Amino acid sequence: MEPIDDFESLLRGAAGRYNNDLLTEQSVSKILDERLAESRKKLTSDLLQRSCWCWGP
Amino acid sequence: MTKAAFLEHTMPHQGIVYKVVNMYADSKEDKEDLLQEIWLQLWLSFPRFRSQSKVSTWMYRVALNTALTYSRKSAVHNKHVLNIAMTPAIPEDDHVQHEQERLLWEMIRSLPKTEKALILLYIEGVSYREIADITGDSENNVGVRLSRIRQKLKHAITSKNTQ
Repeated sequence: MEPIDDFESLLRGAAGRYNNDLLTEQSVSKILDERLAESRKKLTSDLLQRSCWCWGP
Repeated sequence: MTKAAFLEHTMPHQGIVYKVVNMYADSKEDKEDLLQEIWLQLWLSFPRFRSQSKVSTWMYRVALNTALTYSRKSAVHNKHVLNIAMTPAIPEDDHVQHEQERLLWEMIRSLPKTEKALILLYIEGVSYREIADITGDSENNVGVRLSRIRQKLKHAITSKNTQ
């Protein structure tokens, strides 16, 4: 392997090596809706579990 | 606070989310999960975003904090089919011709989480001042820590090269 001539150039050259397809606004919006719905569902389920524990027989 | 305003602010900088995801997650499932979690945290913290700081600074802060505390809790999120195209964390050989660059990425990804965050910001050309704002560290400390990390990486690569 060749020696490193300029480590800083090598390091800086590492930037921008990402090749992702950018998301559309609709995709981000869908992510948010699904994650929020999931969080709400989990919260409700946790609350129900706690209330069962508190008021249970 | 409307979703439209949120998207208008964040979409032009969505590359930040990908960069952080690629740095911290390995499998496709983890990447998708972390990507979704970062977007959610951005949305939740958007009402507290003050326009005194740059959108990119705020996004880096939220994305890195999310990634640093991230651990996939369950396989539930894997059920989501969002059809998000994600490339591998370390650029594949097809994408990176240079062996040294591949080696560098390997080294960067093996760094401790907080050092990874600093070097990510550094290679992206974020100023020390801004890195200090993002990490909550002093500008001087950022400089000292980055200098050490760069030395460590350089030493590791030089050692590998001479093997």
